[in-house]
Amino acid sequence: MTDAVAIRNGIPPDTRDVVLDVRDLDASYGATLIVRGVSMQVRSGELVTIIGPNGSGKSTVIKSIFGLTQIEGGSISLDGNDTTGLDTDRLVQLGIGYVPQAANVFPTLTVRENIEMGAYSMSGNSSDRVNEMRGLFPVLEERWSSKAGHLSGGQRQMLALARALVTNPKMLLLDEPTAGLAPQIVDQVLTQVAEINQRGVSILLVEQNAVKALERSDRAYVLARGRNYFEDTADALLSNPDIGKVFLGLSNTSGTGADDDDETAAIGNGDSQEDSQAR
Amino acid sequence: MELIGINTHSVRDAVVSRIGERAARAAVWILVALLSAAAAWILVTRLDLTVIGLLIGGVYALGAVGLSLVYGNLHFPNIAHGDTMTAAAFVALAVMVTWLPETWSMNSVGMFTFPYTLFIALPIGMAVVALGSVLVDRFVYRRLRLKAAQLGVITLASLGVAIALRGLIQYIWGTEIQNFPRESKKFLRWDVDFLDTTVLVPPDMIFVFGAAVVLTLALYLFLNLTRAGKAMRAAADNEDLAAISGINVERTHMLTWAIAGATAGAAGILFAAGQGQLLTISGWKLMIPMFAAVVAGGIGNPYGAFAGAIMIGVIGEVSTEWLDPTYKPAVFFAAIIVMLLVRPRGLFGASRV
Repeated sequence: MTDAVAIRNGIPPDTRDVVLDVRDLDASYGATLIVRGVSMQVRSGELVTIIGPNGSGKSTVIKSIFGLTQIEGGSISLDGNDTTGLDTDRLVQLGIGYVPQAANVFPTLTVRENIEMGAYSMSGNSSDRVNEMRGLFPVLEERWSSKAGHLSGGQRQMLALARALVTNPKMLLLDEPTAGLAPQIVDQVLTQVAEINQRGVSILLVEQNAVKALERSDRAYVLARGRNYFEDTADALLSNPDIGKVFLGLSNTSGTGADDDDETAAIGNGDSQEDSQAR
Repeated sequence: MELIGINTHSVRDAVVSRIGERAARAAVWILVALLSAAAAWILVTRLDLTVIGLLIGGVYALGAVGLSLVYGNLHFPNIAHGDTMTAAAFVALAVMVTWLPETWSMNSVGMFTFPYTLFIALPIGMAVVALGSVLVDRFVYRRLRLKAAQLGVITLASLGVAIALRGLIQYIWGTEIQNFPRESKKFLRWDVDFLDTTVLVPPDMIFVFGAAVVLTLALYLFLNLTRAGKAMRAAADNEDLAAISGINVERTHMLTWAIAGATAGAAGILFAAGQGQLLTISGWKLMIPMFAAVVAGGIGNPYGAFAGAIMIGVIGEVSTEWLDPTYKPAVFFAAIIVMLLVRPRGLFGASRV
């Protein structure tokens, strides 16, 4: 099974309504090629999750989409227009929002100022949008004038979402928004993510809490060693025993646990440089 | 049984140690109270020194605010800041003495010693060093920044800039003491009857102090109310996220240098005008109290630097009650060390943690 590089499964090559189209992407940090020939699509209104072991290149894919890595090959397009290698500035104007995994707020700025900075590149008056975020995130309204550094972990993630959402993006890229949060808070944040998606924003989500993310997703891509490993609808993935065992940490439905561990290790190790390269 | 024995033992230990801890804490508080009372006593009985120290703090503040701003945004102590102040003062002097007709500088302003031409020279001097600071950043610090140079390397580069700048000043104006155009004025006199002391204040110090307050306030309003100011704070906080948000981080660096240069220019010119004379090492010598002020106020926090500067000014002046004024730099160094030991984040906490 480790030799099966990409199993395309059940989904017809439907290109209608594709908002984000990543094709044969190669991307690197410095000299290390981390993402190799990855392709994925997000259609209008979809919530798509990328899962995979540590170092499989998940974060690198969405960083590449947002122009934060060195792209060595392949293409990325938004609404059919090539956006490969554009400046982040331009990408924000074209309607992409991005929430990085760590350090995703300005700690000494107030909640309000953080959201204003999110709207920095919007032309014209953005105060209406900023106030709209206030209504959308009641948690933040209570702390409107507090410094972001004083917020709890969950509140901070909500602020990071609001900061990215204030530009009214059609495509939102989220890099592990629940990293380091308590289980209940993970649910809150992912529910908020699903709500944002229901308001019509297409979302590409990288998530370690794979089961909780899949329960709220339309489709998912499984990456391993920087390559496409598997893709399917979220429901199908959740009920797929092989994927469940190896990637979702679900209890084994059949036999040999030791083999499973080996397999996970084999899939993950090839690219464990990613963490060190990406800081 | 044994378990219980151990427990009672440890409980007794805990009680004993808690009493010891309370005693120690009480002793510390008593010491702090005594020291505070002594400090208050000195501040009141030597009101003359306190007032002068407060006003000198204003000069330090003007310089320290820019130093702190650069630290907060570019994350290194700019050793060339003092020489930037000197450069501005020399430019202002050139404007007043060489470029403008001499007769223009005949009349001094009201109760102050400096002539009206200072108001022409001040903005010109500020603008020249603001522009100079931006250019130095462009050709020195920016290159190092893009190569992700370490803090020590950039700091040493700023030492190089400081020495080069002083060399340039000495090349153009020589090493002699230069006199600022001034007209002698009476000190302001304040008789404090109930303390039986008289406070004498050079009037220019009040002007400098007022200017420091106005400039710091203006900086505060700029950083907190304007879009560009907020972007500057955001970039100081988290450069990557600022860039992702569409903030041009290099432009915020440029703005930081322009503002730091302009405030350093104001500090250098007003200091020289107040002193009535100017040396090529005038600004360099102010670096120690300014660094002390920055540390006291919390590194990278410009308003903290203002408060720290006032504190350092008073400490330096009051210390002359016992120490020869030539030991003032030692007093400032001691203040830096004590501050770092007791409150490493400064009086109000650093803007960056």
